[in-house]
Amino acid sequence: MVKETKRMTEQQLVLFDLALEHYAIDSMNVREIIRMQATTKIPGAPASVEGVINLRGKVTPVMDLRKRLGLVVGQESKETRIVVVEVEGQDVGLIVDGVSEVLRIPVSVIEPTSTIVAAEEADYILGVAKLETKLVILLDIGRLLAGGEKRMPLGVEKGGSQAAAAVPVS
Amino acid sequence: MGTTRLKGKQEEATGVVLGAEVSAEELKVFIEEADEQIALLDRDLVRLETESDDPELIQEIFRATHTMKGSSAMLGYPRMSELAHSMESLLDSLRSGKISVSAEIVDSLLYGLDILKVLRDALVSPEKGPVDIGPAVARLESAAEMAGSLRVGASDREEATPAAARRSDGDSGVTKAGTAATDREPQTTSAVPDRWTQHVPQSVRVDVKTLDSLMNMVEELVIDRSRMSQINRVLESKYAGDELVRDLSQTSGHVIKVINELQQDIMQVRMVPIGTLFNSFPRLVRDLAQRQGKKVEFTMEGLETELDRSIIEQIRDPLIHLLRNAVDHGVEEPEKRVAEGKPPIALVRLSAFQEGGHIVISMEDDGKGIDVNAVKKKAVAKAVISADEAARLSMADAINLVFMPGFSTLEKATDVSGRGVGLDVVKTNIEKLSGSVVTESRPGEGTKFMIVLPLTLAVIQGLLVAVHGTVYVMPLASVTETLLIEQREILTIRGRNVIRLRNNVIPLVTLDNASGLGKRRADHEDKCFIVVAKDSEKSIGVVVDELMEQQEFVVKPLGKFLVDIRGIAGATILGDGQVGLILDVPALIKMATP
Repeated sequence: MVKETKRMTEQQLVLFDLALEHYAIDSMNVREIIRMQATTKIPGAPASVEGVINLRGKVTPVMDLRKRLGLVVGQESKETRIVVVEVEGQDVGLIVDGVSEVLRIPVSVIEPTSTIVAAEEADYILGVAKLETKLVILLDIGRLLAGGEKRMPLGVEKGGSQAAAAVPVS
Repeated sequence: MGTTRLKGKQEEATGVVLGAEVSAEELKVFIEEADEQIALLDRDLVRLETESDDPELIQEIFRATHTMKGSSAMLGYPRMSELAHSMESLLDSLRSGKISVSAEIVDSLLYGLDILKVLRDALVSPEKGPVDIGPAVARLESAAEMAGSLRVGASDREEATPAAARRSDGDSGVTKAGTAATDREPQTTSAVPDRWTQHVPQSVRVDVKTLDSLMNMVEELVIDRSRMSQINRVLESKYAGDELVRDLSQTSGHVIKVINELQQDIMQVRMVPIGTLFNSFPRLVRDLAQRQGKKVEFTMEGLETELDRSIIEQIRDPLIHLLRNAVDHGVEEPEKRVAEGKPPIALVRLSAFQEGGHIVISMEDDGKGIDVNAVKKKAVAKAVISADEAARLSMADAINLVFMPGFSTLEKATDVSGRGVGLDVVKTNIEKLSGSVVTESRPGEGTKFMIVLPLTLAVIQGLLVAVHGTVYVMPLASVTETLLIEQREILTIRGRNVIRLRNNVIPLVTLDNASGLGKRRADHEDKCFIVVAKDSEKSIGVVVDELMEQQEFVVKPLGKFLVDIRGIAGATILGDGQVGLILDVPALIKMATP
């Protein structure tokens, strides 16, 4: 009984850093965390798509979460990781500046977003978790990736995808 | 086992005998078998019209209806078995020579077959409501009577009535229906179990999903195979003479060999004779022609030609479209044909054959052909091209206009071929399968469509090329040649780079990463490779830095988050474990040519 209540009131998160800010996603979405690796670039893909990698025989797209969120893209470091999440049955890798910890937090410390972030961001930000030492932005990864087709910065580039794979040499 | 018992609604719809419980698995097997028989009947009944004197054909049709009757009775679908029985009785009279084939007999059999199809559909979706077999049975009987054998008609009714009675008392109708069959044709009924005992040990029905999953696993092995040979080469050069390395490479050599064989076998299992698709066409053509008052002799060849299952599925609609198109637009009315000195019966020929790593499907008619001038006029009127362009078009290019989006030569769409979709859809669909269409047409003599398709979509032969350090795969099917040219051979026409290749001017395309699309190649590189690729009409030259090896690649999708990447058809895993992108040649051509 106690356990039951606990599950309801707690959430397990994977915490990671992006451009000096702290972010988190629900660990249920996360399949694995791997080291940064070389990707195959895709001509004509939106700028936030870093490329594709071979994840045990599966061609898996990798997205730079910093670009996706419009943050400053820093140098790749030893800490850079690819967080592989599963969204709608498809694996997607997300490049982050480093994974800090996997944490179980009470739902009560999560503040709804309305007061803090702009409306257009609100639909992929679930809330802000107030931890002892830091504030963590909780992302709804499904919405973030699905909404990518419509919204900045991905949407704009997408619309302008004359940035196609090939153009006549000129 | 979670078997579903079918009750309730289904009984109303199909007249399932109460108490006869059919598991979902049994139903599935039955439906599959029924579909086979229906497909066979579809093909053979139409043939019966022209080959009425072929006793083997009648025998084959008889056997198919008999099988339908037996298996439907066994599962307790009395209406289906009763209808099949009526058809069978009529066929029995044909077989014994009591009556001979007439148009009405074929029509009544086809009508019966249609109702069988409705009954079959009702098994799958019982909500459609009850199916009345009365008219079909009556028509079959009257056809038999008309053919001059009252006796057959009478005996038919005698047998049909107890069947109906069985349905109402409903307890053990299954066994009785089965017994009735045995009473009537002892020789053929015994032949059925014979066939079963013969075939069961040799073939197994496998769920398509299982096949697909096997294929996936083999694909992974194929990728590992390339990786393994690469590691082997490195190990051998690094530790030449080491015994362990030698053992390892021997073992992996064997594993590689087995993977090759496994891959071939699995591919083979996925192959389906194209006849399974073609068999429904004679009926289609017949009905179309009849509705339009046209006379068409439809022939098919190469039914045994095998093609990957997934391609067969996807080629169906384009082929139906072309067939409808041939009957609707290609073939003239009999009077008109006679007036032009042609035989009144038009020919439509569908054939399939293998040519190297490709399957060629050709569809020919001897109709009026494509009127190039009408096509041009229409294209101009529909603003597909300008009048200037039209005047400059070659004959072949003008014919290809019919494949342009927004084009249709008929003013009004008919219910036959014009359903708002033009031939452009046919072309797009075929190109999606990495295939191509070539059209030849002579006014007054007819039109021929040649569709060239790869044997399979899962694995392609490709040429590895490198551009700025990125490796791409060019599908070999579309590569015509490779050239090493000097920078000064690249000419410019209105800002577009082209090369001259023999008598042709070929536009050049450069591949580049998102950063530098369209960037001029560094000028100091005075030599470069050009891979010439073409679709059915146009050629382009793809500028690359390096030509690498040529091998087999397993095609993988890029996934749903990377849709609409123009110019990229998919991805593959290369021997070194990296992902290589497979180029979409038709898309590149579209991008490069105005």
